[in-house]
Amino acid sequence: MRGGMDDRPGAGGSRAAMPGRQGKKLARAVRSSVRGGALGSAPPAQQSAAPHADHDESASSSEDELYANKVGNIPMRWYETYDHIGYNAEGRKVMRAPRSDAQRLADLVDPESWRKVYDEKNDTYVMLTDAELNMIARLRENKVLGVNEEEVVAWSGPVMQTPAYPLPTEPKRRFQPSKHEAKEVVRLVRAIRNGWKSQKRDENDLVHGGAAKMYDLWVKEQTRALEEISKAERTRQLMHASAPKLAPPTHQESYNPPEEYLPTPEEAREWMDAHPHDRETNFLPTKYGAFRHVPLYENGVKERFERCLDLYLATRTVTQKLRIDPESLIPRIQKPSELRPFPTGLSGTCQLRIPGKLRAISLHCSGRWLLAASTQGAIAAIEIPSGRVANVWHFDKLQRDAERVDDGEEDQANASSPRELEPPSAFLDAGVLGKDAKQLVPELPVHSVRWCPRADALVFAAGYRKVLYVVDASRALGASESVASTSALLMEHSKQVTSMERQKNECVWAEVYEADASRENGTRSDVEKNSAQKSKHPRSKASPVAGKAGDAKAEQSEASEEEVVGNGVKDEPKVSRQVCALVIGHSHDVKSVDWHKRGDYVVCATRDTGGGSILMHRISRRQSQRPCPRAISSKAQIVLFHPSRPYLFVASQQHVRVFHLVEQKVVKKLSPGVKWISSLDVHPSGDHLLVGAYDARVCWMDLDLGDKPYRVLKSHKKAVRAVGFHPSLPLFADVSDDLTAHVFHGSVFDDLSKNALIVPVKILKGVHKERQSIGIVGLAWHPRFPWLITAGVDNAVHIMTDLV
Amino acid sequence: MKNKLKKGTRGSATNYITRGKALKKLQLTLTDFRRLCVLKGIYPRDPKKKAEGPLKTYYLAKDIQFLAREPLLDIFRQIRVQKRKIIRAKSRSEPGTLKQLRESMPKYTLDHIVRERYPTFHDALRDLDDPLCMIFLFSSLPALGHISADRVKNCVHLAREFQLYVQQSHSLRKVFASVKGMYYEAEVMGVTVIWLEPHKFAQKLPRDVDYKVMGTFLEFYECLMRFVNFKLFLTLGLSYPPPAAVFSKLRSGTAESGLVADLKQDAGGEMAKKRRSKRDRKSLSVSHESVSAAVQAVMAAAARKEGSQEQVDEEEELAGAQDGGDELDNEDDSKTLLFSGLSFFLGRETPMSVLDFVIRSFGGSVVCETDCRSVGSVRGKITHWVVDRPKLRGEKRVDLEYVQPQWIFDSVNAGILLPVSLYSPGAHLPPHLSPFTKEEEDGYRPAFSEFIERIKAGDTSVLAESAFMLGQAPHVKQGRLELPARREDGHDHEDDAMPAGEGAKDGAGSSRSSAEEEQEEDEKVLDARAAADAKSEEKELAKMMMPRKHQKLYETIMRGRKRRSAKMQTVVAKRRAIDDA
Repeated sequence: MRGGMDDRPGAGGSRAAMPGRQGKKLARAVRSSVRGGALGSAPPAQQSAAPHADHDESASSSEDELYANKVGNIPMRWYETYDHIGYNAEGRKVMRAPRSDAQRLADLVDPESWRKVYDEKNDTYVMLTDAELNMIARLRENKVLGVNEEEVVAWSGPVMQTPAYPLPTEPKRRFQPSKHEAKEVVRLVRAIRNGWKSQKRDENDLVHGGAAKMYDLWVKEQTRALEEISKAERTRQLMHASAPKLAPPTHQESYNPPEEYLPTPEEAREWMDAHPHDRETNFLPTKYGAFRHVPLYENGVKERFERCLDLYLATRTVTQKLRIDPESLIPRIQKPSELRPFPTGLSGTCQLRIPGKLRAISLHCSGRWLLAASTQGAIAAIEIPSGRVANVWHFDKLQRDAERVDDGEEDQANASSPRELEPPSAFLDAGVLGKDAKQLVPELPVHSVRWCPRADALVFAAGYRKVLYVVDASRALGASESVASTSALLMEHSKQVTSMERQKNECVWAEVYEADASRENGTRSDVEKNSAQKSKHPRSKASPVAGKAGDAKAEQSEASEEEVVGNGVKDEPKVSRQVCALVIGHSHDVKSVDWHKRGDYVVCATRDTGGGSILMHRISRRQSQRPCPRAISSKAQIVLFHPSRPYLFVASQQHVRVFHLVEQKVVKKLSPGVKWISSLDVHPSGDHLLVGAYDARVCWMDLDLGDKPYRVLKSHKKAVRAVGFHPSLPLFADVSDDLTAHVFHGSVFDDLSKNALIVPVKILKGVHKERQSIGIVGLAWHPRFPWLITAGVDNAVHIMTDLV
Repeated sequence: MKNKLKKGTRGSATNYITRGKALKKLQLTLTDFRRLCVLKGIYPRDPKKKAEGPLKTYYLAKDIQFLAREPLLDIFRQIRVQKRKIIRAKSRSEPGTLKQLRESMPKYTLDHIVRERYPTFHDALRDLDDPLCMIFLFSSLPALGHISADRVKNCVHLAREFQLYVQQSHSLRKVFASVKGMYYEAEVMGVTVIWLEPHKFAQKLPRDVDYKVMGTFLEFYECLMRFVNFKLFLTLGLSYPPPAAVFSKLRSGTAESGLVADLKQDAGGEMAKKRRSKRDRKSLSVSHESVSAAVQAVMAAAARKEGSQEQVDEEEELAGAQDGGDELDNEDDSKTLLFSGLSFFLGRETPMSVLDFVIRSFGGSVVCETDCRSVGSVRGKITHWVVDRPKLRGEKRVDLEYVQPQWIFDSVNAGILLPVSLYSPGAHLPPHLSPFTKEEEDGYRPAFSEFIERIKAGDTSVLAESAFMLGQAPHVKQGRLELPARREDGHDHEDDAMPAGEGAKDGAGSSRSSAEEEQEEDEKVLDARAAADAKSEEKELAKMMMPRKHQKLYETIMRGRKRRSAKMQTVVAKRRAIDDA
């Protein structure tokens, strides 16, 4: 405005040449330049420059002249609402200059605009000179104003003048060592020496104030020879257990874990509710969408503290971690396919409809006839392999009929509670027998059945309750070719029997004769009827002889075909009639039956706790005797003949005794190490014994190898109910309550140095059904083929053959 | 007859000693005993026969003997006496004595214990996990109560120095961002070291923690780390302690060459002389016999650097070192210098110190948003912008890649640069997997791990599919990543389709032939099943013949496996449920 700005460079130039400006003059200088602008002409600029340069004292007087506006030092906003900005010396209004848009635009475009300052008092723009800019720059850098660095001279003190008067002389004490200080020094020295006072802390060491010397601690690494290390140190080294490292973090711990690692709401709640010690992880997996969302982990300090505690408070032990491949533990066995033949699968089934549950089976040595005995005294004869049921004998019914006739009270009691086999479920599930095994294990089968081992005869012995039946089955089964030989077997060779021997007889014998020709068409009913009548005889030995005789007579009068032998009462021999069954009465229930190879002897174990439990019957002489002393026989569960030698295997609950029948002594006492023996079978060679037990074990006992089992097979999960060797092939099998039958290849060698080779070859499963936690109860091998017959408690008989 | 041995004269009765007896023998209070145990690394044992009952704590008698000869024991006793004197002076209100007593408190150092516990440097490295975790934790704690500011400061220094070593030697191997903090795995002189650095927050100090005990541990760890850091710097030929300027320069990302110069300024020092004498590779390898080949490689790299230092200008040298990634066609080196040639711009919302450490360790260069005025000032040099915001500020630039911090961690763990498209700002991130989990042990492999494997194998189709996925970003289920399964399905379809196609060519007899083939296939399946059955049965049979001892062992192992696999089964089931949903 008013062309003031045009003159500025000139004015600035003159001022810039002026040296030696004082710092406190800056404001004035700026203001002077402003005033110069306000005056709008060159002369005032020179005017203003002169007083600054020459005499500072005139500044205050000239200051007033510089301002056209005389409002004084007041805030200019007081004039904001007016169109004037103050008053001049004459008291007239100083008007605000009107500014056009063009002017404003020009100001914007002006390249010099950055060095213009607005003077609101005079309503003008003031351009700053180079010198002024320089001054401002120096102000900002806190430098002296208006002085070049070169010009600044270091301050020097006043030169000391020679004093007018001499200084007073120094006292002597100033030249003598201070006694006080000497004392203090001595005190400090003493304090340091005695450790009362120490040197100052070394600032570098942050730990202890000791000298924190940095050096290579492991310059020569200490790997000392063994001899250098003391014994104590070696012990420590050997016993050292370094602390286990913390497990590295898993996916779960990620700030953004895969979704499958996140807990479900239930799991999260479970985690929250659990005690911190019981939690599997010490954090709850959480997914954060971005890294910035991850919050502070609050347990960090605590976890590190716990690790510290573990490091110095926890007991450490060195444990060997197993790094065994479990597959390497499984032994290599011969391939089953190399050991064929053996039964591989089910090929036939026979579902029996007989009362009770199957208890035992026996296969005739011809391989044609299978006997299956049930708990309620029914014995079915099944033809193999057709599976036809040829005949069923109902001994239970016979006995009950007989008892009804007899009205014997004790027998009634027996009959009213037919012995069912209770399932030893608790013990079987556990697989192991506990202390009270006796309570858990039920009574052993009261029922057993066994074919006579002679091929030409069809005679079987079946024990049911207190009676042992020796039955001629040839007619019933329609096997006419064996009728003669069977009858011959059952014929009494009574001539040789003396009355003395009869006196000594241990059991009551009865014979059942063939019915009349008219009745012969129904053999079965015939036998039934006959049996019904004879059944009252086999009672306790204690029954009076007279009573027996009377009974016998009564029966005879009723045209009975029965004859009582053994107690001396005997009618004339009826040679013309065929003996179709023998009835041998015992004092106790019959548990197990076995035939001698030649078919003349039957041995049976009864439930006689008094000691006379083992009884041997000679068929041809109708004679019974106790072969063993009481001590052996008292606990007998199972008895078996040795196939070739005069031995008797007597199994008690936990042991098997080998009793020499001729020498009348125990040759060997075998301890299979099982809790309760369930079954026994002897190898055809007679040198090996198979022991099955209720604690799911099967023991192969080699009689040449001491009294411990050669091999214990614990392959079943539940009780083993029956075991059996194949009569001709190197096979054996066991059946169990876990509904499986395991077939093994077990070959024995003549070479004494070679032990038996046992290889499991097949697990047959899933064909029987469980009843009251009892599964398969009996097994039988076909005499020639690798056929296994199993009988389950579900009254099913299955034949397994070597299917290809 | 031979005299019967007197009871308590042999075996565990004399080999072990209860804590009470140990205290009596050493004439220490329980607190001092515990401190001593912490410092000397003595821990209770579990003798088979506990002569004085099962409830007592037993120590090895030889350990206690060993403690009895410890010089610290005497200092501990002196300190105890001194403390008693201080109490007396206090109660007598004798300020002079009190001051004197306080100043003359007996002092001790732990150097000899470090040497004793770790006879070789290698031993010390093997036991470095706990010290590092502790020091990194304390470097982030506030100086309150029992934690003195000096302590924290020292921890910060030690932590930074160790990180510097790891960075310079490129020995970082794995990074894992967990909820607890950052896990790092470094291979220091052939020894794997894992440590945890808490996230950068003001830590809460729980009340039920005995900070005195932690302080004792820290005391030892500080001493140990000081020596370890010193030795590590020595192996790199750097001076210790590094000047503070190094760190500030590192942070600001300026003058990297200057850093090396700063570190190596100790040229006149004794160490440098030693270093020079050991310059050639052979002597180096001899001096660290026990250290593995990896160490030698590091050393060789250091030696190479030194060699170049003499010949060329330092800056050139650094450039050479960075370019060295290309020269070393060794796969291992390409992994350790994964980010060489890349420069990262870290947004101020990102965990800068973490990323800075990781990126530099893998040969990248870093500029932080807080250290420069604007991106403009570093324009042109930046290749990646690390962003942790839901939305970008300003316009997206074409010349940069925008990634989230997880991209860096995942790339490092995978050993390759993963496709950045998966990690763009605001995108739904793929899961961050732990590099410490071994799939073959776990028995389950997350889909993303397989995805990475396929990328590694150079399967470009995966990328296309991932791009497709990215189109529907936040809605994408991770189940879609389960590509192999889908692919297999595809194969099956192809197999099915092929015979049908042939049949069509054949014409009339086609239907029959295909039916026959189906039958054949069925038979094949049945055969296979039968074979499998036979095999399992054979195994079952063989198991019957196991001795009882082995049987039990086998059962134990299998039970453990079953338990583990059951755990994995739940994970698999969850995955399936997610995929189905």
